[in-house]
Amino acid sequence: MKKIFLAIVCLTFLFVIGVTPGYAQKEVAYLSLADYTGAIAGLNVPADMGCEDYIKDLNARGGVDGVKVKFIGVDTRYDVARGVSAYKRYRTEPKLLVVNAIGTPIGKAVAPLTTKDKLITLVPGDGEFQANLGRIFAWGPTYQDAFAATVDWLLADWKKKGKTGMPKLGFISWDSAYGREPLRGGKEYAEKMGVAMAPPEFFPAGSLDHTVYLNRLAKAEVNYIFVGGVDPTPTNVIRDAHKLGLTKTIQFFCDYWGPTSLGTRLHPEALEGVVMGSYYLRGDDARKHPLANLWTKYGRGKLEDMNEVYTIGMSWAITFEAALKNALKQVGYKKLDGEAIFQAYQNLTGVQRAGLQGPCAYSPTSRRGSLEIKFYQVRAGKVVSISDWIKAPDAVSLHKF
Amino acid sequence: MNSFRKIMIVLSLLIFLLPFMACSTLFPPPKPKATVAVTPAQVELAFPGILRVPIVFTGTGWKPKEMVVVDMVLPPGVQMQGVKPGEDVGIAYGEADDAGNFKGEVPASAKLNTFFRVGYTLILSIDPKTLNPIPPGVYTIKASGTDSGALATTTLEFVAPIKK
Repeated sequence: MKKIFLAIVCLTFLFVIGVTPGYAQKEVAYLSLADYTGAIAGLNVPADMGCEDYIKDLNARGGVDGVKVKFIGVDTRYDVARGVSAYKRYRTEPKLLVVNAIGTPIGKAVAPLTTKDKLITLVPGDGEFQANLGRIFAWGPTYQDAFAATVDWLLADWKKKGKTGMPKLGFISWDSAYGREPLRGGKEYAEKMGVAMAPPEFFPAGSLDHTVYLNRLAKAEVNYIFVGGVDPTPTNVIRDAHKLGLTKTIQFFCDYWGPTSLGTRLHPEALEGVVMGSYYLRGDDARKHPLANLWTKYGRGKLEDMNEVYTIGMSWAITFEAALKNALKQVGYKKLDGEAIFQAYQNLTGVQRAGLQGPCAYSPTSRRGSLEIKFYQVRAGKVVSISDWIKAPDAVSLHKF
Repeated sequence: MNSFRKIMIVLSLLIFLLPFMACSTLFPPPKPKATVAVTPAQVELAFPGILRVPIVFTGTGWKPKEMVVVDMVLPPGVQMQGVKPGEDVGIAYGEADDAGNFKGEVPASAKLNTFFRVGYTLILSIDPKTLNPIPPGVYTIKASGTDSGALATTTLEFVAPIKK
């Protein structure tokens, strides 16, 4: 009888330890709702390569205080329905802490779910999430802040060129929530600074020709044009502007997703002189960064072929590493959950990410990944740094959300 | 001795059952009876005509305010970019109202990515050469509540383009 009793106790013990995560390898999950084969795959693939490679390297170094990170990348094809479905599929993943949404629409769609699940979501640059503080964090300065910094840059440029009066600014981008976001606060900032704006032009993503929109802006006699859209869209818009002869008289700007070094190789003449505001390192700044060696270490190819958005992915991973360390210190592995990581992300103010972008600006009152942007210019087919890190103005607060 | 044996047996059984009793997920609360329907029930796989046809899912009996996710079950052999074998593919979603009714329309991106399995050109437009419609047939549709875990199914039939 004693033997039966002992056997049952042993079986029960084995069953209990089998279902208790504390006895398994310590691991947390990071979910990327990505686009690997769709419309913005050209940028997302290298960005997630950077994130995954940094995590591989981190795990090879033992993880964060012994806790390994599981990178889960799901190809949503930039499709909101697939994004929501993928989140539903992976939301029960053990110790899932962070969901990175590659696109504004996917981020907005899954946000109510991740918020209910008390996880955090990372999104590109929507000012809305800074205006309405919650569990959604932007990767860098918001789109409207970067637009406002560009307004400052063009005013200085106008003055430097000895021009009188005030310049006029044109805006052209995708007809989408992302395309309109820079103006939600950015337009107010331009008005505040005395910069007149021509009516903005919006076109469907995938348009073959942009001359109609560009001609309207030219007719409005703008001096500067801000081009939105994810590359290669901006490259194609400026290529069309070059064909129309507009690049001779109008200075063109792009946002974070403007031409990469690879894009500038294809249309060096058309893109010559284009200025881009970026919250992450571009061109040789990115390739000469010590962490860029992960590109070759993990067999991604030659360094000269590294798309600089690779560094964005590393920055996501470094931020997550810092938050995980903070959360583990606060609550330990057993109690580590979405709430703990939410608190940790708000405690990352000032954290450095090896200079890949400005210091982290997350705090209880900030959802901006950083506050600074750097200006780059296309010169002789290369993307060259033309400024230090510059703090972007707060344009979010100027808009009523 | 006999009573000691009985006590030991009862005690042993209790120890064995304790983890199951403590694990409430083994005995989940009853789920609401949810329904899902699709309009139209039959869709012609014609491009670009399909983009002009609204495909709308509606349902009742869902938990108020929960998000309902609509997935299409891919039959064996039907491959799709971004979807692993055996996985379902999301084609719509919607939030249930206060009465537990939901409505979700298939967005154009899902029609292109899933029903036509398109590829993209370098300028982010769809590449017409890559249009690869799914095989015509009756596909199972699963709607699931993200809060309640309720599940309802229906079917959506795809027919080959009608020659005019």
